[in-house]
Amino acid sequence: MRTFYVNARYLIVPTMSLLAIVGILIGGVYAWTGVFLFGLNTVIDTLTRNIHHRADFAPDGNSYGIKRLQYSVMYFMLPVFIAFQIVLAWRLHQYTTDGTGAISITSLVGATVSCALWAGLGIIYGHELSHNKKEGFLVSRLIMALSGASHFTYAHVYNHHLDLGHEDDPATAPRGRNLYAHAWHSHMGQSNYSYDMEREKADRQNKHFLNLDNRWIIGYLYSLPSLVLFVWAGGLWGIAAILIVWGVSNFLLEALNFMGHYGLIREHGKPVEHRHSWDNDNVFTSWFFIEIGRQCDHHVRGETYFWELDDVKGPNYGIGYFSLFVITLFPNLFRKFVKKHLDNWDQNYATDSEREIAQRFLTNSNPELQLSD
Amino acid sequence: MKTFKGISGMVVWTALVALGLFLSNAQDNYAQLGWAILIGFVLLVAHIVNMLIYFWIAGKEPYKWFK
Repeated sequence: MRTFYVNARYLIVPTMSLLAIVGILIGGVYAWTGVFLFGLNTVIDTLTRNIHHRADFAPDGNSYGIKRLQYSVMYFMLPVFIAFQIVLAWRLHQYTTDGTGAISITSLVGATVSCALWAGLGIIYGHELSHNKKEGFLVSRLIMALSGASHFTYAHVYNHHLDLGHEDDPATAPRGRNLYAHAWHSHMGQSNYSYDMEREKADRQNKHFLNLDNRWIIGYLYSLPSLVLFVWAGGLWGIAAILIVWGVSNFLLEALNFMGHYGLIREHGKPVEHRHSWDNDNVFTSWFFIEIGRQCDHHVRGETYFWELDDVKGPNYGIGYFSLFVITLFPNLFRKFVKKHLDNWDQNYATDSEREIAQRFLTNSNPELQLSD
Repeated sequence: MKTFKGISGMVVWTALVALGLFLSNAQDNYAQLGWAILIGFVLLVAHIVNMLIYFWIAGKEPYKWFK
């Protein structure tokens, strides 16, 4: 029974994703199912913010998690996200070609936003599989390509995890940056990292940058089927829809990066430790986001299965991702919220060197960090 | 400032690609699969070039934490 409970609790996203797809298929007000579920999750996450569980292990120390099942679910999410795009494209095709009013503009908006939100939430599987060295890595690339962000898989493992908490990691948000600026800088910075990696590799191998082994370009080519599908289905409407899907899903991805590391500092060359990440591990966030909120443990044990990640008493916002995401949408509100947590980090977690770097943000921060303040 | 210059470069390039597609009557032919593949490919190349434009113009400055 315990084994069933531990494994079944991570099926919230697959179940809700399928419900959202069915909603788009039914149409009408049901096309908004994905948006409704996102809102419902925010409420549940807020109501359960004070419930925190530890990882579950059997008395003999073994995990209850069934690796084959959890990996099957993660692989299963690739066709689920493809199905999301196909049903949205089908609805776009209906809207642009069918004069009978089979779908209204309101329903089309609902279907597009639903698809975009769940593509963004589904990126948690692209993240988890990026840490797999076998076929899971390719599945991660393909899942991310559905959001036009296949570069993430390399940048996440080789840039974000190795350079965490330092300006060399574009996914670590420095103090003073808001979520909107971070989404831009982090996305561009991670793609830039993958581009540099491939350019240096081509130089080493005396190859032209445009070569068949260029993983930066191949990653973008993985996104070609999505683009063709949406152009074919809806022309300009299709292009607008895929831009919304890519824009929103990447914004949600960068929001996770923003919430996971905002303002935390690591001295260059020093090891990544628990204090260089924020945990968001209330029960609903833990189960929904397949423990991605246990960032402190994840960044120290990057290849540990998500169901074995635990509370390591690192920095903790004390609330879940849905609740915190709403706060981050309002930069002034977020700054007020995060100030006490940063003060606590400075006093109780940071080393003297890290505190010195923190002080520099008060006098010498780069105005390029902001786009909109 | 380099961020805005980079974004401006991307906007100009995107506008040129959009104009090219418009002058090619892509908006009237997208429903044909061959055209859809061609348009999709053009858009993807435009996106890749957009990234390169931003990297070249903005450089690494936007990612530096301090002046």
